[in-house]
Amino acid sequence: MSVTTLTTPLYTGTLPARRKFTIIPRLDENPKLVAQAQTAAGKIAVIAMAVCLLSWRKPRPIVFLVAVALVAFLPAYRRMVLAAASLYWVLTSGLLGQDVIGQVAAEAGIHVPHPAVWILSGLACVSLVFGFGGLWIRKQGGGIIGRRPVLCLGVFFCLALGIAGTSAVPAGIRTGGWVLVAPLSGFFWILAYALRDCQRKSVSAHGIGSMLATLWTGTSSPTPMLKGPSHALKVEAVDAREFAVAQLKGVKLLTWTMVLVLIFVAIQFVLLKAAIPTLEDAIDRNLTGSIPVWLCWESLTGSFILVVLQITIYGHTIIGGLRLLGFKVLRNTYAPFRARTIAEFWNRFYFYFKELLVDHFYYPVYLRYFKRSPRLRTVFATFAAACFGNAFYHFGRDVNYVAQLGLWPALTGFQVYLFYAFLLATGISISQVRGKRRQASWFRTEVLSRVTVVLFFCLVHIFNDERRTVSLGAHFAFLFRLFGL
Amino acid sequence: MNTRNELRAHIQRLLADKGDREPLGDADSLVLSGRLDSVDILQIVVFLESNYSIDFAEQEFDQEDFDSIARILALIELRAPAAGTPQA
Repeated sequence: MSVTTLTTPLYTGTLPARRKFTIIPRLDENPKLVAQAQTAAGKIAVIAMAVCLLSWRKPRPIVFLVAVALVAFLPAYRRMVLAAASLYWVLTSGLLGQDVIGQVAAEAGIHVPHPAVWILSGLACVSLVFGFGGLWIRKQGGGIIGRRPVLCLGVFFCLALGIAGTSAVPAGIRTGGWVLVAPLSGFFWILAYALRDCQRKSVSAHGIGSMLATLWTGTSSPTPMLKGPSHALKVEAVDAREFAVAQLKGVKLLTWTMVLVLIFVAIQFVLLKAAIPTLEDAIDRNLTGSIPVWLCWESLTGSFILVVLQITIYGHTIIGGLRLLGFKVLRNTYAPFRARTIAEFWNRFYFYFKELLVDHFYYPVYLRYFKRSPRLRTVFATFAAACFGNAFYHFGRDVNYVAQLGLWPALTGFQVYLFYAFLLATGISISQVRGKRRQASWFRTEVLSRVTVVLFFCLVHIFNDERRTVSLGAHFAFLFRLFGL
Repeated sequence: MNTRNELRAHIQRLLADKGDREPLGDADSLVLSGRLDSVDILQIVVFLESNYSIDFAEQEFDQEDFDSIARILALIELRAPAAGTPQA
């Protein structure tokens, strides 16, 4: 049995003699353009294109564009520029959770003049404790923090969240808990990758500075698209030619992103003009029984397409920017609708989130348990990653719900997403255990398999609802309504 | 078949399953280049577990050790109980 049916659609090796048509020209494969991009005029042209291609972003990424210009013209200072810019991106990323700590402190009647300072100090404390702890244990050998630093970080985070989210705990202690929990929530996976590197090899300050460039868009998503300090240094361009190729790939991807943004806006406009409700509205309206079946289907498919486009645009923007900074990174989304299996769709749809779950949940479980039973081994590891890991990631990311609702209501309200994660893990497990069917007909391989995969993801999307106030029953009622039940 | 050829044949089968029939050198990047992803690495893990009795549960696991044939051979050399000798 094959371990997986996932394919990697990201391979960018030499092309076959007969080239396929592409909407965006292959700039990075034109030797003249690559040579041109290494000259002063070429670098200015690339920067000018970056300015145009990112002009739709609000606020304007001024610091990012200055960083691109500096790394292009002062390659010797590249890492220093990235470290300085990264510090700015950390402070402005939205991952520090200033809002949450401000809200909690205000409710507790505690005045916090500069929440960001408190949160940064909390993050620094956690980083120092685990960084030095991990290094010390590694040096001494054998301790749990040295052997399983990410597991320890997870346990620590859960305990801190438990204290911060329990109303019976005195307000001062809870606020102190949030000082740790809020930044940890945002930086958990960046820290996890750094600790993992720390466990294996020496981690340089350059690597950490470079890795934090993943935050250049000011993203509020904690999924790093540079998988640790060591990975960041491994994928950086090592000479002028590689840098030029990376930048041209960045320009190409950002141009494609512009096209996708236009498609996204057009679809949103059509949905608005046709008065098709969002999926959340449709689920809520269905509870009163006032929504026709056809509108349910239109709402679901519209919402699903918009989410796929949204994730694609989000990933392409970050990766395009990282390429402009000279990182030879793989795309986050690559033609998900070409997937023939559920596992392949997941891989193509959100590559770095899948990698995060595989690195931190799938590998540790797969390498330790049920070695004598290949199917059980695969299914168990898949559930550890796609169900438990997925749920842990989202609950830990959205700690603002714990701050707003309290720990128990936030946990019980999480039932819908937990069920979504369970469905996803079940689908991926079945997809992996079945493996590839080599003897299937063309229609079955090229058409039926793709339609089935898209239908599966479209239907489970009903439960991909991160609100904590709508019950699982309401989502099932919507699912039944789709089929006229 | 020696270790290198056996490993190469296994990886080429994995790549062929993904439609990648490009030449494969010993030093060519597999993971960082995107030719294989993190879950594909598990196919190689299973191959090493069954052929060379390497137990990754007991040892540090680093995906980058699988980035090329040369690095995997170095891993076998370092970690296999009887390095380079396939199990019966």
